Amino acid sequence: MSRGQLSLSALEAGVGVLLLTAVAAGFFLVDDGADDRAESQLDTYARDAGVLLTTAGDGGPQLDRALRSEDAWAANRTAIGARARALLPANVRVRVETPRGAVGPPAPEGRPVGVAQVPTAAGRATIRVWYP
Amino acid sequence: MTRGQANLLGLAVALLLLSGAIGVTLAVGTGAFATADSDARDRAAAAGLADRLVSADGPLTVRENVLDGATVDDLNATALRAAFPAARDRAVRVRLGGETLVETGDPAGPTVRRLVLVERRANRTLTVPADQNDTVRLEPTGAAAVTVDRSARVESLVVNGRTVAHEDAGLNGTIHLDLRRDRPTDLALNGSIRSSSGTVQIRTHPWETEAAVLEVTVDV
Repeated sequence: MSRGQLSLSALEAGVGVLLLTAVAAGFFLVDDGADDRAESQLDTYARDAGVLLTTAGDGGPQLDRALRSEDAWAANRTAIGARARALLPANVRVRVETPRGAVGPPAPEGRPVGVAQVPTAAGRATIRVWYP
Repeated sequence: MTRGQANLLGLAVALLLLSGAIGVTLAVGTGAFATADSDARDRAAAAGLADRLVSADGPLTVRENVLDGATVDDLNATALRAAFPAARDRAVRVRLGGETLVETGDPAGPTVRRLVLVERRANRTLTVPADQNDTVRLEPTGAAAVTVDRSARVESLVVNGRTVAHEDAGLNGTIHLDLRRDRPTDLALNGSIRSSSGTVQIRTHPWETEAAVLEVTVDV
């Protein structure tokens, strides 16, 4: 008899607490800004890599010079890939896509990828970076 | 009687539980909003300062995203505040390649990372025996100073096939050359060079660059 009476208030309170806990958990668990922040950092990486690849200026292989002809690209393709990897931190993968071909592993789908485009002699080159 | 009291007790406990939960939720919510606000502000401040640090016309750079090694070595909190108003009155940490360059206060905000090259100029002196017409390959350098004695009978200097200095009686003294810094240079010594005579000294300032990550953290 008294059991039934008690459980009604307790049940209401329980439902209320559960509801409020769900709201509080929303603040804790759902961090929808994390992907945005990762992507903005990756975009920054891609932009910086684009600047450094096109204005190396230290005798290293410049993207622009490597893209002047098919032969130049064939000869400098590996060096450009190595240069891009050396510029970026070890925990970031990079792919350089040019009108003459791409170097680097393909970018993953459904995950944050930073993108930047730089003008070159052969057309627009796209740099994609992502966390593996 | 028993029924009524059990009801009252249940109600009291339920209200206590509910108000406790409301309190906790409000606290968490307020905290989350405050963090989101200050995080965004700190991030924007860090991004702005980082942008300024690597911009082509900034005080630390030689080109866009290329820092001058010597200037960076001299950087301290006072110099940073003087050069970058964005760093004033704020806790700022600037790290380059894992080493802390400047730290004022103890900022805990988000960190913005930029890719940079650190460029250093080396001073190198090459001593080349001037006993025949010869070509010397120089590493990329913006300028070279070639010191040659008249007795060596080096009559012309040819840079990448272009004659840049010529003297029928033989070059004498130090000749300053402006070179292309983005590729190696072939420097040819031509003339009726005496096989026995001395040497030519070539002073160059080749650039050495090193890739690094610049990390900027700011607390507004």
